[in-house]
Amino acid sequence: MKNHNRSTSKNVILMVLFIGLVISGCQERYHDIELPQLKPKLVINSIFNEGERFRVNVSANLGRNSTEKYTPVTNATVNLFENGEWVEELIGGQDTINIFGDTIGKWFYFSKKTLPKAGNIYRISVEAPNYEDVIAESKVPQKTIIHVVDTTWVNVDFEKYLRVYLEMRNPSEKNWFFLGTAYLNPIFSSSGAEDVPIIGYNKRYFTFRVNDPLIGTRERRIKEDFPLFSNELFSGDIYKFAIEVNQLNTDRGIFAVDLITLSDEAYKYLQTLTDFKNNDIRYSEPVKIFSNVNNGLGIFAAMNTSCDTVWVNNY
Amino acid sequence: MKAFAFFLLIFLLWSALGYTQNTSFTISGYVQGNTSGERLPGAVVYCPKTSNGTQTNPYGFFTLMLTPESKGIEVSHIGFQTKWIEFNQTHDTSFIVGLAKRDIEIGEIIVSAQKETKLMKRTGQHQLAPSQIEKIPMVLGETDLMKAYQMLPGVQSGIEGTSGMVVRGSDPGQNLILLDGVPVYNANHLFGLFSVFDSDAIKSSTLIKGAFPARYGGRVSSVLDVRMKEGNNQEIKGIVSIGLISSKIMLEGPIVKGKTSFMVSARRTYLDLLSLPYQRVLYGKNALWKYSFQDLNFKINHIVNSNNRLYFSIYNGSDAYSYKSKYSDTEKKIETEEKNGFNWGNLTSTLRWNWQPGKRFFCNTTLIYSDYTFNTNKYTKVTDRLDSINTTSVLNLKFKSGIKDFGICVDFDYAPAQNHQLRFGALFTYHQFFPGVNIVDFNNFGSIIKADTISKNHALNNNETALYIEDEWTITPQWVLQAGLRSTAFSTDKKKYLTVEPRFFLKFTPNENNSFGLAYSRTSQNIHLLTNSSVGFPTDQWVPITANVKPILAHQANLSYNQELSSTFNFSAELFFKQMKNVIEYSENANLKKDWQDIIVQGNGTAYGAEFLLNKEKGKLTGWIAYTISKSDRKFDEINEGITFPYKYDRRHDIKIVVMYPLGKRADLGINWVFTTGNAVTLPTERIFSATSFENQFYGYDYSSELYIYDRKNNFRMPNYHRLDVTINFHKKLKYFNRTLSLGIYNIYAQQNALYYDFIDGKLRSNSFVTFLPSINYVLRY
Repeated sequence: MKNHNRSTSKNVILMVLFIGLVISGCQERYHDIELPQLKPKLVINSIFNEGERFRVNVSANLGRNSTEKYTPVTNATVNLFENGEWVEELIGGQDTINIFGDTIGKWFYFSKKTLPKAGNIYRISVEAPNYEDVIAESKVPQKTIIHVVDTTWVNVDFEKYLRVYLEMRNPSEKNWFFLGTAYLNPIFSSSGAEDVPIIGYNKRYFTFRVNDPLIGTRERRIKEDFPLFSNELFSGDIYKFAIEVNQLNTDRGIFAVDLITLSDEAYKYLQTLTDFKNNDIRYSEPVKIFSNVNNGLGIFAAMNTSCDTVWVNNY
Repeated sequence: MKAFAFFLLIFLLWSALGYTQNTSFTISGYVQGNTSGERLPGAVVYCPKTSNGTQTNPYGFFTLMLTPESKGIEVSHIGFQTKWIEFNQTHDTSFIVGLAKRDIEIGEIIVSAQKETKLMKRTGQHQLAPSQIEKIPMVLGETDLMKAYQMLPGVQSGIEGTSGMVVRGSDPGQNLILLDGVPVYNANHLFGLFSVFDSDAIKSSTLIKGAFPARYGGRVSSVLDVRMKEGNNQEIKGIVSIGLISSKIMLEGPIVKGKTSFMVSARRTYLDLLSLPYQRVLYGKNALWKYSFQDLNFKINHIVNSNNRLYFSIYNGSDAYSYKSKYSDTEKKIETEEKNGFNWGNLTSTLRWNWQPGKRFFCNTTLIYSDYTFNTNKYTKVTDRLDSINTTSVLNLKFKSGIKDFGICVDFDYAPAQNHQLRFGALFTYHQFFPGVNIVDFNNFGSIIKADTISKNHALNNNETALYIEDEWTITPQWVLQAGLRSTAFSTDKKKYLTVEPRFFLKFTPNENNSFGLAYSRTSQNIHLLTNSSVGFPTDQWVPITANVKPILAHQANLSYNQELSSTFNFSAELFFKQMKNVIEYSENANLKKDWQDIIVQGNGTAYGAEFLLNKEKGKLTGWIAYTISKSDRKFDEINEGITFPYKYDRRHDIKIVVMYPLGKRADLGINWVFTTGNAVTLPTERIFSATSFENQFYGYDYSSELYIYDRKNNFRMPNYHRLDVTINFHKKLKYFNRTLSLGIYNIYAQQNALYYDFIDGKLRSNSFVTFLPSINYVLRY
């Protein structure tokens, strides 16, 4: 009897060991993998608007495996061409506009005198030691006018929304557009006076919801697709539609709508950027970010912004 | 259709030529196992005197025309003793040939059998008998038909955790897998570790990877024709197999002796139960995952009379995975309950009628039903008990996709003359597709309200009609030409597609030790398997051709050489070249939330290579060495800037070694070694800073500031895959049973083959799944 028990215990132990081996054999194991040597390339970042100074960021690519931090390329020579003619060399310097960016976001190359004009083609060439020269160009599209026709407060799913009725002019050519909604924060003077004067406005952008057969359907989400749409299916000179903005984002004050007409390059870049940020499921297709920079990476693309504002009273 | 009619006319004229020759008499009948009464497909009926021969059709029927000098025939089949049948008569005769099972010696394994079989062998065709498949070491000791075929040249598996069979640089969706003539759309269990075929329920199987006979169609890469056992009509037989993660039982026998028989087999895994204690240790009571698969095969057949026989078979198999968890945040007073899962399965059924209206004529009529489904579900319930008010939000997403086929086919075998074997037939299939995009958006749970905005699932109904005719013409004993033609019409709601597919195979056998083959096949495929470029999961979707999505068209040419090196060694070599048009891929940057037709592109594929097989068939040590060198690439205008890129299954070198060796009289040893070049995958090699203030302006924070760059498609090669598997089988004859105890180790040197890659903390990491997996199996045969 004792021997029998001992034999049973032995078998049980063996079986447990065996099952343990099987389960451990099926466990995931990890190995670090080295990627091939990286070819250094210049990375250009500039999406420029009609009437605003050129602002070009130049950096370098890093290996996907590397833990290095980005540093701006500050010794580059950046030349700007307008319709094929050289116009000026951009000057590098700190940018104080971008308050949310990383350190790299503070170093840009600026144009001194040239402001982008609709219909013109702009090209930059960038040279920097240890990198191949890069070239990129983009044509500034024509502005497309947008108007806020009316606003009204509505209740949707127990939440208050500002419904904004808009109309936009339908350009003769097919264009891609980006719609932005913002609240204008007044900037007050720090003079210490009792009736503090407003000396300017900061635009605070936020998302909106829309349900339109041609513009598209979008929920109010933080990580939402870029609301890109085209006028391909518009008919007539004017297209009317409505958007809704959550009350949490809009209060008494100035509400602004930006309609940005995109160049072909800007559209492709933003579209792939949208795909990229949505591509966080492990087994989905890899996203190739659009680039129009020859011999390098990044984007140099034009856009043209039309803006309309409206005073909104409390709901 | 005109082209088909023209070729049909040529065929009839061609066959008519046969009548003008001096035919003497016809022998016809069936070949079957003498103890089981199971009809044997692929058996060779051969007349050595006239070097005239044929093979039995899938229902064991043969017809052969002989001359008075024939004297007799040899009948042989893999795993059975060759039988010599002598004739005195010279008139038309019909009979049944019963073959005795050959006791395969321990360790003996043969890829093809007797010399006669080799003489009949087509280019690009392999047959493995169930008794042979049992001897090849397999993962967790589970005998597996598809894995056994993957040990042959030109046939590859994915890696552990990936599904499908890759034949000559194609994708797994290009293989026609037939179970009793019915397409099986997903032939995998446990993410590809096992196939759905229960080896105990299988009578025969044939893999065709080139030189396709015209009777097969619908896929461009290969055909795996698997036939279920019919059931022993003489005595009750059974097999009980107890394995480490699954067990199975098979029972067969007569209902009316010699007339009606049945076969039933069932298999079920208990992986879910085995892993339970392990999960309890790891996760406590908060989480539990379950995985299981099961199969049921049933077949009944009835001999109505000598000319009529009825069969009914059914297969039902499924996999189910589920995960549930419950967590409480006591501080925030929030309870979260999650239930996720997916399941997939096949249900196939056939009703078959074999009719022999004359000695030279055989007719088979089949009703077909196939149903493949894939379902996912996601359920999340969040209960917030803050401020003494319970608020509950529930998210419940369900998604269904699949494909249903209803079909009828009629096949005829006819021997119009001594040197002609004619086959023709028609097939009609009504397809119902439920293609869908399987997406669950993990990021936006808080705002997902409308599930129908995520998944798109529109049923698509299509009709497919196919006609075929083929003839095997023995021009001289040395020269045999098998030529055929197939035409397929596929109608979608807006467009009709018609394809005409010529096939031919010319064989030259200068002497009994050497043979050469030359083949050409045009094939078409009217459904696509939509799969992403990473791991192949059952989430891959079958989608039909539509007005916008065209059928795949392929051309394949083969040149083969076969030589008997000695009485024990056989060598074969085969060159292949395959060109495919209209293969599909997801477009670059495919947004899987869109309709599938909007995110795919069609392009061309090319695969070519050479396959070598050295086979030792006799002696103590038996086995084979298979080597394939090949190249497979794809070209799409919209992908990779239109530049040709290597296909993900482009594996330059592929080596398999199978060795069997007897260890005394009661045991045998089986060893496999597999080596293959790693898959091509797309990985980001660079990262860049997106410093445009554009997004920052619009969203008010530093958004998507880092981007990953893929320089080109499939730019990275995974490390070579290799592993060694060993099995020892101990056999014992008990009073009522034959017992086999199998001990095995899969991947004995614990090679950590990469399954997939990901980036963790900026570092590229390969993840491997199955390493050093021991197994134990206990089989009782009655």
